[in-house]
Amino acid sequence: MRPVLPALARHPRATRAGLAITAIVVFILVPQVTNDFYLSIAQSVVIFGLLAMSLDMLAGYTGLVSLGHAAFFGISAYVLAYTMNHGAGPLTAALIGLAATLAMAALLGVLAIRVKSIAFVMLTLAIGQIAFGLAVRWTDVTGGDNGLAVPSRPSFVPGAIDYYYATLVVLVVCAIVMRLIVGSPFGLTLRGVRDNEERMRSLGYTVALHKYLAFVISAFFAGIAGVLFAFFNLYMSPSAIDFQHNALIVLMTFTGGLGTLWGALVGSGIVVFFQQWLSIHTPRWITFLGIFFILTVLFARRGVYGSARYAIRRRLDQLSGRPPLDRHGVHALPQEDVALQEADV
Amino acid sequence: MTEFLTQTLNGLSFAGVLFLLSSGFTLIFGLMRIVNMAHGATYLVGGYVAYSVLAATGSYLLAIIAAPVAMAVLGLLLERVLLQRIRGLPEPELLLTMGVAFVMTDLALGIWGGDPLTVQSPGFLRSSLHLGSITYPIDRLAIFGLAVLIGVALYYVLVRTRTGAIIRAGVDDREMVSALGINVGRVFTIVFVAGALLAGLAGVLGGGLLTLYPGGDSDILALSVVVVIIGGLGKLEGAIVGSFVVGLLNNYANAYFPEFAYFSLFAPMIVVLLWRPQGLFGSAAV
Amino acid sequence: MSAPVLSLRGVTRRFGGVTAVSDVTLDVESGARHGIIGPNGAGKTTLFNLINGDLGTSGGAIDFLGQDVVKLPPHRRAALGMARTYQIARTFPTLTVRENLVLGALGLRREKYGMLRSWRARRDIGALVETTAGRLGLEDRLDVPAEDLSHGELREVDIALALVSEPRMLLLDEPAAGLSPAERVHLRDLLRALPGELTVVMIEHDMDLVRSVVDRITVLHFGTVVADGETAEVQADENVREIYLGRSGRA
Repeated sequence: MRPVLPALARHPRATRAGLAITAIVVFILVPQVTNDFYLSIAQSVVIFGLLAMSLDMLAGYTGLVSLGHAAFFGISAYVLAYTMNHGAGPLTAALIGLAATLAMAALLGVLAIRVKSIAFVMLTLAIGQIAFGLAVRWTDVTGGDNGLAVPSRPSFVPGAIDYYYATLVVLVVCAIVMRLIVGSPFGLTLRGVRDNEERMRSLGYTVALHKYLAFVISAFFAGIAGVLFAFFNLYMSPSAIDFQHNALIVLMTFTGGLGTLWGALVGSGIVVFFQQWLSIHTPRWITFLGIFFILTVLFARRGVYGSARYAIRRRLDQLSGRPPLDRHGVHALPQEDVALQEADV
Repeated sequence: MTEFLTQTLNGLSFAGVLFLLSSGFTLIFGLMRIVNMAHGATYLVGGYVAYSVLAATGSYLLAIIAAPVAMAVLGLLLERVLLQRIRGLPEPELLLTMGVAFVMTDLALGIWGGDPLTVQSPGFLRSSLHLGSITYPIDRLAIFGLAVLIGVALYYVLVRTRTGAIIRAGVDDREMVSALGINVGRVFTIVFVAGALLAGLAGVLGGGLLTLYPGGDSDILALSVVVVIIGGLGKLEGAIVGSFVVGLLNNYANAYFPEFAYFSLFAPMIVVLLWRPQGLFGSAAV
Repeated sequence: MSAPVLSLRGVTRRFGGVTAVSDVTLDVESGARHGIIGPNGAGKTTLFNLINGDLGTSGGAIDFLGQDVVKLPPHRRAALGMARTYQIARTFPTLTVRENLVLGALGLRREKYGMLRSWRARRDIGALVETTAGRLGLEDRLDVPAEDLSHGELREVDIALALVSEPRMLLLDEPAAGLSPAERVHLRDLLRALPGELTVVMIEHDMDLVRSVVDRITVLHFGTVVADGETAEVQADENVREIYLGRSGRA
């Protein structure tokens, strides 16, 4: 029982801010104190962390698990590459790419909300595969399996390190916005939709509209991640949006912890670690990742970050003397209820 | 015209393979509410197993028996050892099958490598038939024929047997079925194992028709999903009709406008979603 | 004499060959405390489902506050001022009691689309939530996730959810089911303390509760109305006694 925890418990906001700042500082320091290898790991974590966070808004908070989220990532990256190859400047191309993602999300969202939540998974799987198939077949536009090159990064961030810091800034800004959204009244309604859609309707909510907005907003942030990826990789190919990648995003979000937002970053770190570090030691890193994932599903359903957060909160409750909550709802009756019972007899 | 006829027959044999895969997928979903993400991987690994058995023994008969049986055993293990622990929780069930798919496909890559492999049809089917103006390989007709036979058998089981009635009732109303004192758990296992068996069989046949390659699992799983969305969740008739639609369309599209082949799948899916979201044969209360 | 708040004319619902609700006609006056009773399977919950829109009618008219609502989906009827609770309490399990009630309060407000400020920032909603929670004795449980509550508390949250939207009419489906005697006393006091302008329609089996809260009763049996009138009248009605006590039964 460390004496530090009660002190932290008394100032939750300061603690959270402190943790966030520490994390940001660590990310800032990576290029300064390590080499290219770790920089590329950190860069991947930033980009895919943003992608996973965007999926968490949809899957974790609204309860709509999308197996095709990479499609929105891919649309902005491909449109960016295509327009740059046809003369547009990097920033213009990025904006056009984002607009394209937003437009597709607005269209597909209409379909997506027409199915029950469980069929949503299958529909998004189909959408993701269709996007992948298009990327492979429509060679005139997408370059097919050869993909498209991205000619250059925006002029103010030519080098890898400059670019890394730029993406870090984008991540922090997006994370703040997403955090605001999930903490807002609208964010609360999304959790309500996830927990009990029908009750939401009888309370007066137009549930379909909320799902639609969540779909489009999360697609937008995925699109931003796609732009970051395109400029990082300077190349875009269909393999980045194949089924395995779609599944990996879901894996990231879940392994970190659905509905926690920061868990998605943690999950992204875990998957990137498996991918970049473990792959050095064995070509079967995906098998290990799959096993790790299965174990998480069976034994740590809240995810790594989610479980840690839950355990810490329980500990803090115990330390601050609040009565423990029995999951079955049995608890000691406060004195006045006891008096009532006796009087009634 | 001959081209069209050939493509139609290709589409039908493909529809046959698709039906074998989708029927299991839709029944597993309809009854157990599990989106079995490992279904495509079962198809692929089934095909690979058949390939290896054929390469080792030269007997197609052995291959076409061993592969589905092996997948059925795998399905049994998956259902009893893993899925049972999280029964009734839709998100974890989905994610678990996804994790299993990951492991299966990666191990398959390690064992069989990345080059496309084919499961050669048995010698006596390797000739062609003259049908009017075209010559068409008999083995492809046999695939379609086998799928039809199995479809009829499945239909019979669902409509005429007690287990089948329980399955159909369970698709419509799970709580009611278990409230009637029926051992729903055992029916779940039967359905899951049967689905895996059919997926394995589809893999053997698909291995001849389409070749086996990394990524083949998700390609065909996506098509299965479209079949089920069009046909309706949990309905065998939906899998039949949906397989015809998707199989034929996919083939025509690949033949006549390959770049936009995937759009051809999109179109019927959109139509169904806009006009009848529960699928052609689906009930609104899914 | 003002128009009734709720008016049902020939409301019917069939499920295939089964007629669950048959030709139900009744009026509920403004500010009334109206009970709906009947044996199990009489169609009471189905009737509620038809009234609030969770289920569509097979025939008949439903007017709420003078408006024909038969074709309106549940969220539109909620917007007109209808609120209901359920036999099995429907709450938001992973959300705290406070968050549950905030959702109840936001349902009909435009703020529900606000994306940039915290939902805690609205002090008026916060106050409304705390007051409503207080009326149900839930003030100590506001920060507990709903899934950790006892059965009785969940029932209270269910009722609070309906009340916090400040409805014109409250439909209560067996609010006392599963409650301990002490909790029933608490419920009775709560119901008696509800504002007079609020119209309350209640399905209940607990006749003590019905007697102490309700002024008019409609009795349903096999989906049809067999009696409809003031509490004392209905209790004395021969048909009603037969239904509850059987032909050879004695009071």
